[in-house]
Amino acid sequence: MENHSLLQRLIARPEFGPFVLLVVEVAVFWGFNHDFLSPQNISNILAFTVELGLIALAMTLLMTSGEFDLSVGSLFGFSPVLMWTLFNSGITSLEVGFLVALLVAALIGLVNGWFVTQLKIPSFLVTLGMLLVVRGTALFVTDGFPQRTWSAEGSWLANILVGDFFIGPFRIYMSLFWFIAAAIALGYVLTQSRTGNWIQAAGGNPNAARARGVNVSGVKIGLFVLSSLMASFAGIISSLRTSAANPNSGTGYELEVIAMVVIGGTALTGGRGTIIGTVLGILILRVMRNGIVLIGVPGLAYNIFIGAIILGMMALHSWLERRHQAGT
Amino acid sequence: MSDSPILFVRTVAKRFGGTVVLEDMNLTVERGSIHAVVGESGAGKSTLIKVLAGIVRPDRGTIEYDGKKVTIGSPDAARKQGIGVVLQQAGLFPERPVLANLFVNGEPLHNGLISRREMEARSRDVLRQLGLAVDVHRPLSDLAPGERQLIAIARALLENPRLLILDDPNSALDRRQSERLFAVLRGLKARGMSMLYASNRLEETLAIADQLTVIRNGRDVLSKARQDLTASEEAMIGQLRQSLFPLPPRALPTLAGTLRPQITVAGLGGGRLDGICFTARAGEIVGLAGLAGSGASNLLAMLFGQQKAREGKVRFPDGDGLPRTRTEAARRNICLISGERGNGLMPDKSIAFNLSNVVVGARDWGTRWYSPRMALGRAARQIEALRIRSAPEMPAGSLSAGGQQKVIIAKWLEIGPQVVLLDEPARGIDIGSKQEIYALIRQMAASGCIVLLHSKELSELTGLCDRILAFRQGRLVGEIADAAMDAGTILKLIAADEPGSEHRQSRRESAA
Repeated sequence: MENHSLLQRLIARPEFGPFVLLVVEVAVFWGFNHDFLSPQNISNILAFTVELGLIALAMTLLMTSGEFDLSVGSLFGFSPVLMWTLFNSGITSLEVGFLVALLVAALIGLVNGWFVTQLKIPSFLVTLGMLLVVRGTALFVTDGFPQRTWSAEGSWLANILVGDFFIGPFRIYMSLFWFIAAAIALGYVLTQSRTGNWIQAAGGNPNAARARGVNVSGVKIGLFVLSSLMASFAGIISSLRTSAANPNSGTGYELEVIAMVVIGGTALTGGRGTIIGTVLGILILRVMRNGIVLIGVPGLAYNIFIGAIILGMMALHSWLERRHQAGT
Repeated sequence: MSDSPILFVRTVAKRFGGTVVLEDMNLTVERGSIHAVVGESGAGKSTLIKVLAGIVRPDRGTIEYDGKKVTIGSPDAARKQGIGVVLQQAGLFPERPVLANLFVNGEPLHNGLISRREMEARSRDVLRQLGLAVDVHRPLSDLAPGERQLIAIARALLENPRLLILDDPNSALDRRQSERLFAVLRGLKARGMSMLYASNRLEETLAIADQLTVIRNGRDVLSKARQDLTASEEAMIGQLRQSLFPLPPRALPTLAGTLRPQITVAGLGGGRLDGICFTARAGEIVGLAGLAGSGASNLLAMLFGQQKAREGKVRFPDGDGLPRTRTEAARRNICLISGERGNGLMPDKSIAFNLSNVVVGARDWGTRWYSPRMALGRAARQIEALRIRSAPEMPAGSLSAGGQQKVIIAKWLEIGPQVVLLDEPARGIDIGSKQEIYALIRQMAASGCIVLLHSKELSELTGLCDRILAFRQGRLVGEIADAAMDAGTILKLIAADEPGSEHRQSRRESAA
């Protein structure tokens, strides 16, 4: 038990399960259809992966601290709508509109955090309420119609966020680099920084954390703001890439994001989180969505597989947990 | 260093809702000394310590620290003043590595990132002093309860406090760890650290304290240097010193064993246990002695249907076979009372609810539905019978540790148990409650229960039991009765010479 080999230690890591699943998934899809690993398809998967991925990264930290945020999907739709509405009506430039959208998102996160930590209302209820408020606002402001977005081409903001170029046969969007940067930064924050230690302490045993002088409320409010900011940022990236700002976009993303995070091995109850696992979880779900269509399963069947994966992974996690507790 | 005391507490008062916890508390801690605070549970020790730790704000009164009047408004403020605190509920993070636990909110940074190397370097000495040989990268939940307690103490020591406050630090420690801790504390005292030490275990407190303050009902009633304590004052310290085991050993009724209900265990094995055979009859208290890893607590868990047996036959008074679930056990009048803190208690629920949950869930209760009125009535009876100092409507979590343990016992008394399994039932609670619990155990046996008692405190076994079964590494290695029952004999029987086995087992227990 004491002298693990390198392999054993690798297997014991929480990220091992999702990693195996991802490899199996890729192998199976590739077996069915060799086009699955074509440069074009990989580029396709990556383009959309990062947009949900950004939200999932922030959600990992939030869930590690013991809370979660259901309002991210509606912010994903609302922020681009706000930005384009400001721009189209000539009130601000695109850049200022972008900043205003982020600012509003941060404010929404602040409100979420304040309700959860100060009024002690469970985050499920607070963010469910916020989901409806934000989505409702987006629909109301736009009368339910998509916003015009044709004038983004060539603006420097669009270039930094979603400018695309080719590396060999791969079409890469700038947003991939934003995602990688965010993953590395948040990975470091979670595992190597004091803040990360506080996040895990706040989620693992909030009373003990408070007794140690950790500002649990502050940490959680900060993470709610981060989660809202990331959702807003992701929504704007998505809208610039697809040249569309639909008040309905992002519906259902909150649950998909949470699924990504728990499949990766983060505990829904807090205290334990892993960014690497989340990245794997993001890829698992996105590859699944893409692969299913590619091998000819009707896209509408997608959710069946997602549900099965969630159930399977949770069963695996709990089995590993029990085996660990049995002291083997 | 000046000679003035490091800490004055003057007329501090605190009430929670309608309950006065501290009424008029005064305390003076000299520099470089160990000051003990003793008192029954509920006397206000833990609240006093939380006030000094900055977790609870006092309503009234002043605190003077290091010659200055201070307000300790937060745990951080306490730490800045150089006050290190180890709380009774240690406040650790079981899922995180040991190392992370040692440095929560005190993480050493290197270029803005946490430096694991520095954390290891800084903690190595302290851990060695405390005699802790653990892999600091493992999750804390892999450690045994005693080791976890020492980690909490190590965490406080790592901040080099000038005043170290310990609330009942050795409740989870075994004798060897306790002695080690005391040696460390004496060493710290020699280097000039001041300590405030709250405890329920009077004997150990007297062994280490330089000064002593007795508190009762939120007031300090006596404060003196250890050596000035007169015999009569020691007696007054409490009903504390009064004999823990009030009733004399009883002569067993000499009825033929076959006529009385009994448990027969034959060849029971499973987990670490192997080939256990014994009989326990109604009216007797059978002790199970054994170190961590001996399997004695596993045996109790098995008899209660909590762990599966691999082989063997067990005959209960009501028939053959082990209960398969805890509910079945409760239906068959078998109960297990464990000293693990918080075990089976719903702290947010009322005492009445806690008292009735087993009987409502597992047994016929007279009415078909849960009736709050009936629960209150029955709870009031138990509260009076067991002298629980609270009202039935109060949340069970508001009770002191001893009070909570009494609620757990009372809830099992509600089913009218025939077989009473006790796994360290009096661990970590104050002397007064201990005594009452011991008396209850005697009463249960006298009224015809079959009582099996496992404890790591040998005095508890010799004081209470009619005979003692000794366990070592999963096997029954001997039985002692009557005059042969002394701690030395037991220790010889149970002391294992394989240190590794103890470690492994304790880890499994802590994870469960």
